Amino acid sequence: MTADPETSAAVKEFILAEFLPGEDPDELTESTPLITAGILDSIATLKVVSFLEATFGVSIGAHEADVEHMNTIADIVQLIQSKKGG
Amino acid sequence: MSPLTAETTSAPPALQGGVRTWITRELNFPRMIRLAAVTIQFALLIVVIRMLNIETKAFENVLTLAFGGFLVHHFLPSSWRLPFFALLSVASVLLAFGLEHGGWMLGLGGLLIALCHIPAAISIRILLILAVAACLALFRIGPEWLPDPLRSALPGTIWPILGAMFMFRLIGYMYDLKHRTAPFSAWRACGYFFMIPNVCFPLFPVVDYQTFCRNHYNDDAIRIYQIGVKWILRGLVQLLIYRLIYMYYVIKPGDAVTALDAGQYMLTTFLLYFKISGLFHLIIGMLHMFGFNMPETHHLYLLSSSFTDFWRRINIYWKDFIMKVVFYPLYFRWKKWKLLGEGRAMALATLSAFVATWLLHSYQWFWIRGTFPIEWSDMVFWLGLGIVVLINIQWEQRRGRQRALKRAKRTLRSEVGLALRTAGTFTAICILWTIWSTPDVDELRFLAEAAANITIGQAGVILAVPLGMGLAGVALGRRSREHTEGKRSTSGSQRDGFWRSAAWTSTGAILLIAVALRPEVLLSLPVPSAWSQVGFQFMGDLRTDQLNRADEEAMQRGYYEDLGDVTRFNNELWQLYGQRPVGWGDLTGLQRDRDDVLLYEYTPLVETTYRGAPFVTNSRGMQDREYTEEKAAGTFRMALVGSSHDAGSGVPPDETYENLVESMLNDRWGSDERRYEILNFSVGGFGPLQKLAKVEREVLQFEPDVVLYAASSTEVLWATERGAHELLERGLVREFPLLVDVFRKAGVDPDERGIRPRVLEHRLRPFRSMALEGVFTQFGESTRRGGARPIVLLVEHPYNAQRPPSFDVMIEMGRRCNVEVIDLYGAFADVKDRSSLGVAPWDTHTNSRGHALLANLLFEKLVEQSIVPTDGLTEPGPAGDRLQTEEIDE
Repeated sequence: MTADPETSAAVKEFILAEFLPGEDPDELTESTPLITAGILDSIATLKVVSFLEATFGVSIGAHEADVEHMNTIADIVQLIQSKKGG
Repeated sequence: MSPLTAETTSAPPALQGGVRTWITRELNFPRMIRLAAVTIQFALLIVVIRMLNIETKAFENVLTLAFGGFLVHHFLPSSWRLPFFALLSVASVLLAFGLEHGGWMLGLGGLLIALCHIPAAISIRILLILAVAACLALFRIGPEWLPDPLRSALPGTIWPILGAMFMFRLIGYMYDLKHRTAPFSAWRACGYFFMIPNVCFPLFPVVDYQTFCRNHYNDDAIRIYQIGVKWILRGLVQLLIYRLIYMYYVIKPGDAVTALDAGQYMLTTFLLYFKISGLFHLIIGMLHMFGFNMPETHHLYLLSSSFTDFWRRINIYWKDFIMKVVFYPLYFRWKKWKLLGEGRAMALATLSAFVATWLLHSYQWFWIRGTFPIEWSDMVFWLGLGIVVLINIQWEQRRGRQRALKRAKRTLRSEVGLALRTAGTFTAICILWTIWSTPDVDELRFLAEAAANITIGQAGVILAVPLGMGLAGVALGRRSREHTEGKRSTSGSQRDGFWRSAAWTSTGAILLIAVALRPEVLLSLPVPSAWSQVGFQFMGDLRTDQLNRADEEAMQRGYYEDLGDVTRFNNELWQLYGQRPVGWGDLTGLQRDRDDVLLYEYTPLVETTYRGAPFVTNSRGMQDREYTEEKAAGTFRMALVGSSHDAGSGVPPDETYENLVESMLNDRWGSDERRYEILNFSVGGFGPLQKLAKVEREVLQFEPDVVLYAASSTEVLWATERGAHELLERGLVREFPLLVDVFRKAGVDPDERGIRPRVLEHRLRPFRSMALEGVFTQFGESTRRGGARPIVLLVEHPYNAQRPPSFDVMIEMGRRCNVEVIDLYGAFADVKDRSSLGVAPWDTHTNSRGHALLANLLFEKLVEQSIVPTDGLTEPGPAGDRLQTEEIDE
């Protein structure tokens, strides 16, 4: 499965705007830990889920809102792609 | 394909490959040196645990097994490691519980695991598991209507541990099985549920199955081990702090007089949680030794800067479990309801998570204790915490929570804000924790009254504690949770990080060993002498595994006999009482009520078993040999009036100190013309007032020459606690003029009814010495009027590791009241392990050996103080007069 730059950029932009205002965008990479490093807590994870569902038209299950699927931007992009059948 | 065979390897690529790669990678010199360093640290920590008596013997054995297993496990091929861990875990169950009980646990656990994987729909599997769980719950309760062979079919000892292994993990496991979020195999299931060292701990972190699988050797093995030993040490330190607080600083709510006392109660009540945070560090550290790179638990939770922060820091294993099986499923379902929307769905899901935590807390205690407690204080705590967390979440959503990719810039304003938030959160949690841990409303009122009794100086001291936490929060609170993943790893992740961590851990362990070996070094430390004295005494007390003063008193009072309050917050008492057989201490049929001031007495002519020993009463209801009321010519008669220890609870009739001394006297100086008798009028639970009444109403009729009033270290305490409430309720206070005076001084109407026991106890507390002095005075006068010699006998009990201050108080009191005192403290001076003198680990009544030691000293004192007539012959007999206490013990 290939990475989707557009999805990745959209997710990154949302995370920077919503949770990391004023932070240097270059510091947030595809592999920056989000949940394990405390950037996304449970409520923030739900916000990301809502964003993904609204933006990409996918449905995310409760069991997918976890570190396995959402710990990095790369994980999130992979989750979106798997939902879209990409 | 069966789900159990759907194994996938989780070994990282670096650990896969051929033997040559493995040898090159694992058996190179620098790596072996690092492994040796970890092994040495692990060994040192095991020595510390053993030397400082930190946990149970069962845990020490399991730890030793784990140490041996650790080395073998490391050198196994990666695909063998999980099966080996599973086998080691199964072995730990058998090691701790033995073949029979361990077999039951493994069998029942195996059944539950098998049900998870039968080839049927998930809903059918869940129904079957629920049915089996209901049957097990029935066995756990053991209701009266269940036929006896069934009631006692399963050993009662297995429930707390079997519960700890399955009660929560099974829920998470089924969730993961349903969603296929992790690999499954028989070995994984076995290792996950019987996970070493769960067999030693009824309270165990709810390890998530997905994390258990995902994090297994997900980083360099030695880095994971180093984190493990570091956390084991951190756990040990927390457990030591817990013991220190428990032993010396815990006070009872009723003893709080000033705001400082109330503050001390609130602070220590919260800090006792170090027991759990310490154990969890120990457990998670041990799991690291087998490659399970689990998240850090209880990360600087005292330094939380908000309620959500507290919830995220404290027991994250529980938080993650609740999020996974309650919060997310409810939120994802409810957010689709148009009526609710996302905001309300989140609020409702948050509150539901806390309600679930409250109910699951009671569910946990059901498996541990067999009852399902529904306490108002639990509800207030969990719902209160839920509401403040929810408010906090709303606040954070509006204001935004500070998050940063790099270290945030610090300003004076941000630092002051952080300090104040940390101080405020700490204070609020202490208050909530106090409400939670003090379910008795009267006790909360005592604390509130004490808190109102404040001076400016005390206010300063009290404020200094949260402010100190605030400053600590500024210094340390921003530290991120430790883990080996990513760039934030702090132990062993960098070139020199490993050795720094190893040096700290080794130094910590070696220092603890040194202090355990030579505790006197603490006395030469450049710290205030009071601190070094406490440290020195602490090291000694650690070895005796004794209860603190408050719990000793509680055990003496019988507060916890019904197991009602013992377990929810008091781990020490729970451990003791948890082992107690059903029916132990049950007086049904042995004791009967009286309608006078004596309140109750032993039933005459009973022959049965009580507290594990024969219980025999004579025709007069004495737990003693048969005697006539009329004293025969030439008989020197003594009477003993005491409580259960003196009656000989848990000791065969001929082995009580009173009967032993009687035999010793007769053996030494008895003849056809001279007999010695000691009549035992002691009754279990008698306090000073009842002993006095017994002397005046019954004992003196037997024409004793000497009356021995047996007093224990709790005598002063019991002067107003034992019997006072019953006397008030029965309208009998006026039978004791001395008690009427005490009531009046305390502002209690002697004719009032309906005062709750703890309220009366609290109001009379300042006057207990006055009450006991009144009892001693009246005992002396009445006994002398009855023609006998009054003597107070101070009886040492096994739990009196130090000389009780009350003994000196009573010696002084005896002097003032003109009553002689025989001091038996020192009878057990040569006994190294005082716990060996109790009739059972959960019962501190003196056993036969202790009675023999008391008899030896009492015999000596009776002769030395010329209390018994010896016709001038006081030198020992040919074989000596002392009893051979070791033989008696055998």
